[in-house]
Amino acid sequence: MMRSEFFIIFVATVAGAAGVSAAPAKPQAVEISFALAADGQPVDCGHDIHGLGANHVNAKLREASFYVSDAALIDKNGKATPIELTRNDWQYANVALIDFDDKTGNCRGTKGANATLTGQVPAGRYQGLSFVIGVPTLGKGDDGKEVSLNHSNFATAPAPLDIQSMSWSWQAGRKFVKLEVAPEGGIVRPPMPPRPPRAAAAGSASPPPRADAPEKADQTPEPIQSNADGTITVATWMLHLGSTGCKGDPITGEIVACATPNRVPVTLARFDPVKQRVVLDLQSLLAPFDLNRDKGGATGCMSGPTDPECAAVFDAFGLGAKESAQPGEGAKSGNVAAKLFKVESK
Amino acid sequence: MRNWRKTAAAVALLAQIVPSAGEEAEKWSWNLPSFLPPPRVPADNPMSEARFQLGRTLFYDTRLSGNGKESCASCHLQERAFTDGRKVAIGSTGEQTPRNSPSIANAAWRATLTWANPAMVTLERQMEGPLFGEGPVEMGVNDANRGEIVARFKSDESYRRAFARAFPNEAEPISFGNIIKAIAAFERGVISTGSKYDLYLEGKASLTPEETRGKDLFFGEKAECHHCHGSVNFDDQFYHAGTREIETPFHNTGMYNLSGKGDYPAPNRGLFESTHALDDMGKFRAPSLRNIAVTGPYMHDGSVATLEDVVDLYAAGGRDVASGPLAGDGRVNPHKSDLIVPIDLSPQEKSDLIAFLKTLTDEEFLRSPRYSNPWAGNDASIAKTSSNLNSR
Repeated sequence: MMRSEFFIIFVATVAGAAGVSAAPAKPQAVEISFALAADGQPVDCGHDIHGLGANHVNAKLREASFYVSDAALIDKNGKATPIELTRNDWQYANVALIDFDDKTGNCRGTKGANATLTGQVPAGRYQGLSFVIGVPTLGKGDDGKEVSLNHSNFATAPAPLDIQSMSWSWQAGRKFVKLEVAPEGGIVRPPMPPRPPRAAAAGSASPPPRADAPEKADQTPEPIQSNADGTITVATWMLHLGSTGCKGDPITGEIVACATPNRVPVTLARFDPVKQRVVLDLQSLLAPFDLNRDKGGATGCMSGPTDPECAAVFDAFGLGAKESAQPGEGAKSGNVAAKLFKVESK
Repeated sequence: MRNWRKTAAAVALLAQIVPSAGEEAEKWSWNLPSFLPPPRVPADNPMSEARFQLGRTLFYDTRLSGNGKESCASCHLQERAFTDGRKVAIGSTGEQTPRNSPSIANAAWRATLTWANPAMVTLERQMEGPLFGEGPVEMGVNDANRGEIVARFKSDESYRRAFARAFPNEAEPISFGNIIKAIAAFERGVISTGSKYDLYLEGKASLTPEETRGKDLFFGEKAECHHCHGSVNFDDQFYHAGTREIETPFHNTGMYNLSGKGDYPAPNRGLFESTHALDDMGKFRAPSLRNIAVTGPYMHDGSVATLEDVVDLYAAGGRDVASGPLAGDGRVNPHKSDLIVPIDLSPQEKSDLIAFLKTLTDEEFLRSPRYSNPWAGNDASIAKTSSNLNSR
């Protein structure tokens, strides 16, 4: 029998409780656990995922990480009480990195993984959870002063904003979600963009070609295979979600605005952190896609509005083309993306 | 043992004298001609000679790449005004980038960096692309090798001294943040102001009749080059320390017109790649024309081989790609700038224009020891570098 509300127990000291009746609620620890699954089966680095996507293909998990911010517990009146995250290598300025890839098994990514968000809330009676997938533009640093978060320089930013593979240098921000899977048989996609035309030869002003043409190719870049019909086969289906269309101010050197912030609010109306965990269901996200076939653009979706795969990705996250095109803080409602998450007993 | 004692004594001596005597010695002076106001410098990365020299050493050091095969200078060669002579740049692991390597000369006065990215407003941020980029890999620094790369510099005595001088009063001066700051400081100090045309403006050189006719065409209303290349840097995103407001224009110059719909080939669709606004299709930043004669091949994708071809392209009001997968008449690209229209240039006028463009080459800049490779001829000779870093 599931309780519909849970308490964060208020433990008052004798001295504290003695004089004042309306003492502020003492902060209590709260832990939110996350997990990955695909249609009910747990997903991890050590096992293949069965039946993924529209074509129910077997796939290996390569990377799965996402930033969570603005986590809050919700009471029965719908009031959200922010969780003050504990400062550690996975949490800074109330932003946490949830990271399921740890370089073991099938996974790439960085060493170490983190599936838990830890913090404090005032003692109270709560029944739900809300959070935002993404990194806010600004936050409060360790000294309480305002700091740049999404657009900070990852090379100097505190953990967990210092992870390079989650930085998105050409978009001057962070990848909010990085999900990469390698489906069996690879992904057939349209040919790579053709090279520019050879400019007319002749002409005297052209510098001579360089003599030291590089002989360096110690990594095999994609594609893994060129096909007879001109298509190519690549190995990894990638979802990178983050703010795009960002603009800087040359005078201040700061990023001032992003046309499509792509932050995703999630509201889980019923959630008990003591007994339950939040499970991201990859199949809910990938169900629209034939994972053996990509229609163009990035293989998968890298948040490009014209990428054929991105429309369904934006839909799944509730970043409809309409909202997404307007400046703002991403999706309006936390209910669309909530469908990507299942609440399960621990 | 004796040597060790000597070194220890020298280090102790340096430690005593450097903080006081050093600071004065390392003050930065811009030393600019009157037509060039000082550039804007980020408050958290002030210029100093020590920082500039450290940045120079790092700029030329292949140890900064993941596999040790590439330095910044691999794609930015001084004799080519810090471009690389290739159509597009090649990363340390052999991957091609989509774009032609831009010159770093006078980059300090550029409001946005790279070919078309309104978010790249500081050299410090821009550098994250080549250092850390994954698609394509350029320098190939990543989470796995970052610590090892920093350790390469930490284990080098001359670098330890150079970082300490460049970042005084910092407990751990050797970090990626400071590597970036030092290289940015070097780049801000890479200044080209000594072209024949500059000397002509100062009354120290005269232009030939051909060059003079080319200059008049360039700045006149017939060729109209000056609309996008009219600043003292011959671009249109010039800004400096005193600039209070700035526009950052990008232009479609009619190079492509895929399927007749105005498209440019991905991933080289210009500002569109960033804004995804259709109107931004094919829009790129007008590059500086300083040293243009030595920075070919030209355009964002290096698809125009010579200056003659560039002039022909603009005279035609764009480029008609007759056949192949990129076929399309760029001259009628619907997103093309209104400024790019056919110009009726005679062969003589074209050659006059090119003669003028060649006066923008700063020969001294291309050879200046101040910007040259401190490792040259010394392979990994640390001794030479350390003397370079500490001789001032």
